[in-house]
Amino acid sequence: MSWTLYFPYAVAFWLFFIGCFGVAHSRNLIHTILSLTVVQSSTYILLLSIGFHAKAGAPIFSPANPPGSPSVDPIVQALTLTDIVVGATVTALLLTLTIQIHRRRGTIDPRDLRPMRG
Amino acid sequence: MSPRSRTIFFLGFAAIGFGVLVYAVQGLPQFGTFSGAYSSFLLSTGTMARSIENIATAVNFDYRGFDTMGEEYIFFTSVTGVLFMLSGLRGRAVQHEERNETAQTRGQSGAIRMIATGAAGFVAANGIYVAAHTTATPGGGFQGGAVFGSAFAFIYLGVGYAAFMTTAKREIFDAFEAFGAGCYVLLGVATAFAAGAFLKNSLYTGQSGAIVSGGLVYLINAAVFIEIACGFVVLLSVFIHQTRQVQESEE
Amino acid sequence: MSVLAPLCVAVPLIAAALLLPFSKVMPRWLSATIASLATLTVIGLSVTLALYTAFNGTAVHWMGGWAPHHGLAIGISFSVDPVGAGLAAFIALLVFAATMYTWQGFDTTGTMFHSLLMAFLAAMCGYALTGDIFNMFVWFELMTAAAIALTAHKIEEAESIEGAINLAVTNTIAGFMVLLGIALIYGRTDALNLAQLGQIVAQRPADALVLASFGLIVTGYFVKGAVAPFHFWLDDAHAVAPTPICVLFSGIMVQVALYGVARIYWTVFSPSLASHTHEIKALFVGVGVATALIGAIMAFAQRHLKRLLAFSTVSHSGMFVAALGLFNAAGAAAAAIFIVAHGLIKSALFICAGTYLNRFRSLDEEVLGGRGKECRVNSALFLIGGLALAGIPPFAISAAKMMYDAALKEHGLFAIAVVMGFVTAIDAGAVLRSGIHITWGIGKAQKTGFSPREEETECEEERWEHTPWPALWAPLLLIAIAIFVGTNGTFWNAISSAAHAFVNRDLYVAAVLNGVHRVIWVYSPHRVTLEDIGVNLAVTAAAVIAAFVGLFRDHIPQMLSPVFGPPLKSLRALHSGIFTDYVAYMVFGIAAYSAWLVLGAK
Repeated sequence: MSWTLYFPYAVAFWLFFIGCFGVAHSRNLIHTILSLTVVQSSTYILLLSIGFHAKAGAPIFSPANPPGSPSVDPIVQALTLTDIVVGATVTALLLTLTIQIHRRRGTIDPRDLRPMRG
Repeated sequence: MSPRSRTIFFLGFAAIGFGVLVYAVQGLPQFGTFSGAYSSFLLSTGTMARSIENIATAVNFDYRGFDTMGEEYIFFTSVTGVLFMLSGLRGRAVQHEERNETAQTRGQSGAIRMIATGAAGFVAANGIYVAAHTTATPGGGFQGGAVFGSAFAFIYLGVGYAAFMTTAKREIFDAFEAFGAGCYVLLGVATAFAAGAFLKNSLYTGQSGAIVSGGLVYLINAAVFIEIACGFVVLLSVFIHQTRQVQESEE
Repeated sequence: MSVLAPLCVAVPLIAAALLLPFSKVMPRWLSATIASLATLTVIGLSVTLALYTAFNGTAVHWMGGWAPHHGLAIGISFSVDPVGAGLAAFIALLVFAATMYTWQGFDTTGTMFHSLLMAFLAAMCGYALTGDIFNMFVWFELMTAAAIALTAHKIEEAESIEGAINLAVTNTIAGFMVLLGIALIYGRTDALNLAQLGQIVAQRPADALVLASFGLIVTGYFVKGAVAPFHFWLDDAHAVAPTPICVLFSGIMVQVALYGVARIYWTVFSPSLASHTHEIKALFVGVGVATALIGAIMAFAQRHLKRLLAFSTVSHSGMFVAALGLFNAAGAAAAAIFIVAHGLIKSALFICAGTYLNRFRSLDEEVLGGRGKECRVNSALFLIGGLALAGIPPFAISAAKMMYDAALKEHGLFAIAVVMGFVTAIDAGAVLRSGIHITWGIGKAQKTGFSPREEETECEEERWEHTPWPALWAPLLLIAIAIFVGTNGTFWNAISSAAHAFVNRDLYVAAVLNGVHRVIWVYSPHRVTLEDIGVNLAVTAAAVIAAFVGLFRDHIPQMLSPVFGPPLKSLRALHSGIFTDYVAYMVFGIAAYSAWLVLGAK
């Protein structure tokens, strides 16, 4: 079936929107941060599945697996590595903000944070 | 917006967005059929050019090393940001409360403490091992640094807060983290003036398959390892200190 | 010579790494000095690059020495053209103004503030100079990380943290949207260099994939660029961020993101989207007009000075998008000079607002009413800034508006020019209204809108008794530069020429991939006519009238309030301050933009 050939890409976008749904309906800042992690993983899946090459190995060569043997795309792997670090750092910053808001307001429910309305 | 209306609003537009994007995605090459000039070129010439067997490392630290420098600074900035926002008295010296450490360590037997310390040492060594074998294995500075940082978690869990705070001195690790970050840029500037291009890999690249190979890649990798490892230790120390403050305020 | 480009990024990064370990022992004047020296170095480097590239064509530096292999780009390039270098110089200039402000009387609590500021400078300069699409994303994420930490500077106040959370959540999702777009276009082309991408994408007309990729990238950068419906985080962040950071956000960070969109459009997508320009122009101009109107109306309904100025930035951002949406050199030149003019004036206004905060512990129009007499120079600068924002000659915005209206009229969009004039009047009218009420206490203050009536100051002491010299010299310097920009015809010609090089894709690709550097000179002087000056004076007069209408609104008949009241109320309700709503609006924006581009452009 032809749709299976594009299924991983659709999964990536599904994760993106589910993650955004989680953020838009979160009642706890920790839940928000984890939903952002889900959004982030959608980018990993899209990148890695774009670079996938069927019946190919990892881009690590050795005497048993010399350069020239079929291999998946190394560039998307490097991009994903960069992306992981970016995600980890944003998580750290948001967790810090969560700790501080808990100290000031006593709650981490986004609905209870007194918003800047208007 | 009320929660119900927000849900309906969101689901409606998310469905439209999802539909449009999935329709568009059919223009991509089918899953498993990717091929292109850029990646083929790198795969075929990477090992020859730089004696690096792990092409992803070569891409990360050599061909696209400038991106990795930016990424490293994202990590640096967020550790700075966490320190900025959480160091209690903000830039002035923080006094550690030492009075309750005997209560902490009292509940732990000698066996736990010994195993934890041993495990911490083993994990730290493993981190260095992973980082050192960057050119021939899937290891690298980032991965090794994260493993090294987690060794300190063993000390906190097994031996206690006081021991953790004694080993993970924030100022020292902070200085080393800045050192690692600065080294990366300084290497780039040095090669810019010495070899004509920023971050140009003009050092002797060694033999492919050897542990020390890849030329400048190895030095950059070491700088990244120092920065990430020390950054993780600083983050752990700051966050664990926060749990301590909560406990003290609850007493 | 091209090696100067990575140095623009390397110098601030080294400064950032240097400043961090000594955070407890270094006195503030030393860290401010180091930061200022680094910033001045970047100004020098980028001005040199701007002059060099103006006479020698696009300068390209390949990182790691990886020059293109038979036309295949394998490394990361810094492709510097006059617009990029000029933008980097302007970024460094505003960061210098912000650093100068922190010299005295600002509580930086250690050197970490300056370290983060240096990382922020490096990120923006890197974004302006790079020629690689993924490298742009990396610098974009560094900007976001630094922005989160810098917004939450006043960590003792809960509102600061809330503003930072809103910024963090929305901008993080934006970054991921950009990355999805990059992944899609990479999947089609297997290239990451802007010139290379353009070459491969141009080979056939755009299909749904290219349009979706363009849509995702544009949407992601528009979040940073505070374009509707993604602008909601900006006012929350501005209301709580310290003054030098507000200067940078409004002055240049928002505009840098719009530059990114323009750069990506011109180098990557312009040939293949040539058959869809009508729909894309409609999208950009429409969204620009909507953003401008929303920003101006919300600005008028604010009582918190920084929030008011933030909404004014939103409306100007809409104007920039409308100008860029004309997709020709005239529009790009108008947007460029407008960005410079707006950055200078808005920064001066924010610094004046910061002085009010530190003198009187409040930014609320009602609390400050009449107290402006105690700091006369500052109030005078604020009022001059408000008039300059309206477009009074000889300040820079008048020149910018002349070029802007000319570009729109050339395109046949005279009605849009009128709408933008109206928007400017309301916008500047809001600033003038607050300025007049604060200085002389006449009229009735704005009563609606979010505002904590009393706030923590940003200085170390309880409050300033007298305004320290950096807080007066910084806005004076900026306004002086604005007068220079507004009257110097050479500068206008330089920007016009740079814009022509910016939109010329062949020149860029030849320089980057083939090493062929050519320069084109386009001499199209804009003649200042009496009609232009008259239009600007008319808009300024309208702004002053709007200010007085706002002050004396009790005296005008209440007939119109049933017409204007409910829409204004629902617009204000949309700006709810909770990021959950903002993410819902973002998804609406993604769906709307993608559907318009992919389905409408068939």
